[in-house]
Amino acid sequence: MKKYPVFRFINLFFSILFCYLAVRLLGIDGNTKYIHLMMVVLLGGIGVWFCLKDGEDGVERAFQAFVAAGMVLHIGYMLSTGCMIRSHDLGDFTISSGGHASYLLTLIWQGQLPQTNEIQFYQQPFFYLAGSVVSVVVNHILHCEEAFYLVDAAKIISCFASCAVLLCLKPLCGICGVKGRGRVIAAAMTAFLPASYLAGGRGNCDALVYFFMTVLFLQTLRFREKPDWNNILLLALAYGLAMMTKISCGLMALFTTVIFLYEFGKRIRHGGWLLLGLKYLTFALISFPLGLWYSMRNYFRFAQSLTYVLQLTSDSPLYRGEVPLVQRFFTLDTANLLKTPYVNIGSDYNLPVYLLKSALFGEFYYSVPVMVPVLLLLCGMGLSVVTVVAVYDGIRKKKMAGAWKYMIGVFCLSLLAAFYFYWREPYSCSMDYRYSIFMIVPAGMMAGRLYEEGGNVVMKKSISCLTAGFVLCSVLFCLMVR
Amino acid sequence: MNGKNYLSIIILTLFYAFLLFYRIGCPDAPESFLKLTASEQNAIQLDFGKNVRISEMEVYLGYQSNRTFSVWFYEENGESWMKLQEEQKIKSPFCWNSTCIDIGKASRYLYLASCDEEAQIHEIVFLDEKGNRILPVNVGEYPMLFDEQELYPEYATYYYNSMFDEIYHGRTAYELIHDLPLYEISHPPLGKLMISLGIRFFGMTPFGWRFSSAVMGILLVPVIYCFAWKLWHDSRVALFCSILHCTEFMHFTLSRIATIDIHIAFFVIQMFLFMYCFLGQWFGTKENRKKEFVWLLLCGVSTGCAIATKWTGFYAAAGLAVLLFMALAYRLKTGKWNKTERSHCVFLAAVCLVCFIVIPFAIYMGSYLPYLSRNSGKGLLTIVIENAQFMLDYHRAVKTAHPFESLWYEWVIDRRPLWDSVTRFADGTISSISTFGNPLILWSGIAAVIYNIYLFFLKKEKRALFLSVAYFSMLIPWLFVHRTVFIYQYFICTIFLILIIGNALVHRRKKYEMSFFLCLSVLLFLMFYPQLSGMQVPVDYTRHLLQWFPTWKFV
Repeated sequence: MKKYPVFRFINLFFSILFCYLAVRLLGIDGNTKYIHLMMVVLLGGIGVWFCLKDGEDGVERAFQAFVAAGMVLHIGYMLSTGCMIRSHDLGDFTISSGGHASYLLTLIWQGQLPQTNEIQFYQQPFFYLAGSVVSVVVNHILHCEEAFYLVDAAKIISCFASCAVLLCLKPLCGICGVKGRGRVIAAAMTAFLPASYLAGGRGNCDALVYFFMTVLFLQTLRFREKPDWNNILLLALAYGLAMMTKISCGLMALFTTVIFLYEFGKRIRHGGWLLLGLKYLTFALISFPLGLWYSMRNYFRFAQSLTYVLQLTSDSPLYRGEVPLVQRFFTLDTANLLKTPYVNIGSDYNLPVYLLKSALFGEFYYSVPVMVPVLLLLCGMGLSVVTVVAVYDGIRKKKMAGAWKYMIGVFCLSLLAAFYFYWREPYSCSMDYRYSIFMIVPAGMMAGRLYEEGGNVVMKKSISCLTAGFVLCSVLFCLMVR
Repeated sequence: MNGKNYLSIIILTLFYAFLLFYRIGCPDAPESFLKLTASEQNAIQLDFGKNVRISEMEVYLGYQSNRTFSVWFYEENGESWMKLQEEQKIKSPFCWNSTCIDIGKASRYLYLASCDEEAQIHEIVFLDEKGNRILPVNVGEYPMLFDEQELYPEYATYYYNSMFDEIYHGRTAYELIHDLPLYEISHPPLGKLMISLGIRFFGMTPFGWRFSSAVMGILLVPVIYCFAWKLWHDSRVALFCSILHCTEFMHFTLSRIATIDIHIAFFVIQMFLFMYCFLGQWFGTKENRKKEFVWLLLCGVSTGCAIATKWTGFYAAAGLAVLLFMALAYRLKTGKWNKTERSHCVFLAAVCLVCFIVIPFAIYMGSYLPYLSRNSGKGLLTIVIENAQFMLDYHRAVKTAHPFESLWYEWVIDRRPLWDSVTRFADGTISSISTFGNPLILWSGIAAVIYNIYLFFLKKEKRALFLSVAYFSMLIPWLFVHRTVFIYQYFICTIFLILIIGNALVHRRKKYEMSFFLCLSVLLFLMFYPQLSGMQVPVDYTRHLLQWFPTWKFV
């Protein structure tokens, strides 16, 4: 199995950087009209390229086309959306406000990490470090010192992260046995998920967490296939950087631990456990310090616990602790689902519905013709059902051989994490899909594999129609959003 | 059926009887009473021996509801009687009614007078601000009011009080026994007569007035077993249906409340059971044709009892008619019509006339016999017709909004339970009872009904037809009823749903599915048991685990 070429990631990064610079230089940043026009042209170009397949593998081209189109959406959205639009906890563009902007500006202006852990300063620093470096470079080129643009440039990291996930899809599909048109389904679901490009246009660590979770999943599977030094070192580095981005990336450690234990057990039976143990030790020696140094710093300075999150109180209008647990977690609030496609953070309490809606629209309202979000929601619901059917099918037909069990395991792990987080922090904002974006990766691959192995013509047609509808509505939605 | 079947029936019935009777209601309640009138001479003057500050007055009211009393305290300084500004409204019959009469200071004497022509009080308990009981020193003057003080409970839960429509049916059953004017006459009398049997044996206590419902609920278990056995001749399926029925929520709750729904369910199920037996006999071998008449007779008696309990028995009767005529049409189409057959059918028609018109009419009329003594000068037929007119007018006019009313399509999806009773305890626990269906049975029942219809239309399965007609005959009429209704009207349909589910699973022929379904149903029953039985549990348990939907209000 070929490794994914690192040059593609470098190319991607510089392409996004170039686009950002170009848009800033042309003075059309935030000008949705021109950017959307460019997006339409590019999407059209991709479509023409696909149609000119001329005897080559149509499925492979479709896969590439969806990935490319997805990147166009991600980059286009990032360029047409200012960092203060549809942001979360950004705060004022000052050092003292305590939001994400403040964190970035502290690094840029003061050249040091925040000296408190108040408000958003408790967050792990990797995104802010990377974002501030990129911002300094970009704004130096553009001779700009405005606080807004200093913060805005950090979106390049988010956009890169969300697009980089699409580059991981090919090796993931390969390693998980998703073949043929199933890969196209997986690519379509992942590339066109609105939550993904919404995160890519934000100045916080959501997209980077999404990217790292994907890399951790991929790299763990690669280690499973070939437990050599390269893979363990990459995995350790990935874990370190992931945890340095957000501690919750440590969720994937549960999956990795199972794989590690399984491999260790095999080595005990067949020999070679000592060398493997050494690799694990190396893994720990790299990943733990890299991932936890900031947490240790904050623990000693501010007595901040490892799993600390900003606390709201039960007086908050977002508090949902009084709502019955069953209604919060285990039933489907169909009345809410039928009422509006958007979440209402002030009143919604049902996790399944909130996850579905926020996966498509975040926690925001949009002034787009209502048919588009409604159709997008319907397609999203349909694909959610497909995912559930895929999980059931994978378990029922005892297809737990190979990568089915990994995909199901990781998907269920992500879902359980969403449940746990909302249970632990019973506030409506805890349900936001932006904390669980990674879920789309195993979901898309399972849907793709179900398509290939389901064997049922009706099911294949349904999945195809739903995916096509999802893609079309997502594109329309992205182009209509202001 | 063999010995194994009978043993299963007996064991299941006994077990369910224990479950039903466990804490169904207190076997004791204040029974001696004093009748107050509006006359001053008939008022109560109580002497507490010294100045005491009375905070609350707990009154166990008799059979009349909504009684008003005026309360006076003796003002020592002014040497005069001071009337409590608000008159005290005591609402619920056969319930401990709490009323605050705290005047903010102590007094030695209290004067209680009825504002109504007549008020029956069984017991009064006075409490100070700390909740301690205070007994007047002159209790000897009013022994009936203070002779059962030990029966006053710390918390007046369902166990000690009447709940929901028991204030009507239980009360009217009491009135039937004591020859009092009848309050609840919006349904025919048989159900209330049956409730009164329990009161005769065990007294006007919660146990007494719920006894007959419990017996009906217990008897339904072997009836369901027999019905399922008749349908499939399979012990496993019969046991499955019976146990599933035992885990049906509404069956449990309605068997523990003195209303008439369990009674009519008992009769309606028998109607369809006997009709099935008759049809099986009619289409079966020609030996022992006398059995056909026996089944028809039993069916007719059940029909009469059903209609004499509640007019929804007419819905079931219509269902029987549909089945009978469908069977007749089928016989006409496929049968060999020789002279013997024709004369047998004519004879059967005559028997049907007797069994479904004459006998039910007689039973219906007979159920009104206790009304004769209350309507002197009127004939029985006049009384029956007048009451029928009243019932018709009443049921047309009942459109008052109720927080727990629901329409037929809401019953099917179990949307809005009926909240019967709630008591909140100081330690953060709650005792709450609701009437609603087992969601597993109701929701999977929807799929099973559709599958059943498919079985009939595509595979011409007659059992499926029979069960579908039975189910829809009890549901469809409610589409046209526009009065205030509640989910318990769907109870009889849930019994047929259980049989329909059984039929669906039998056709699927997957052994593990029945066991799995049953285990799930039992688990749900155990989980919801506190909400069905009024068992005291932490509020959080009910709120977080049982309130599945916003419309399910249990706390």
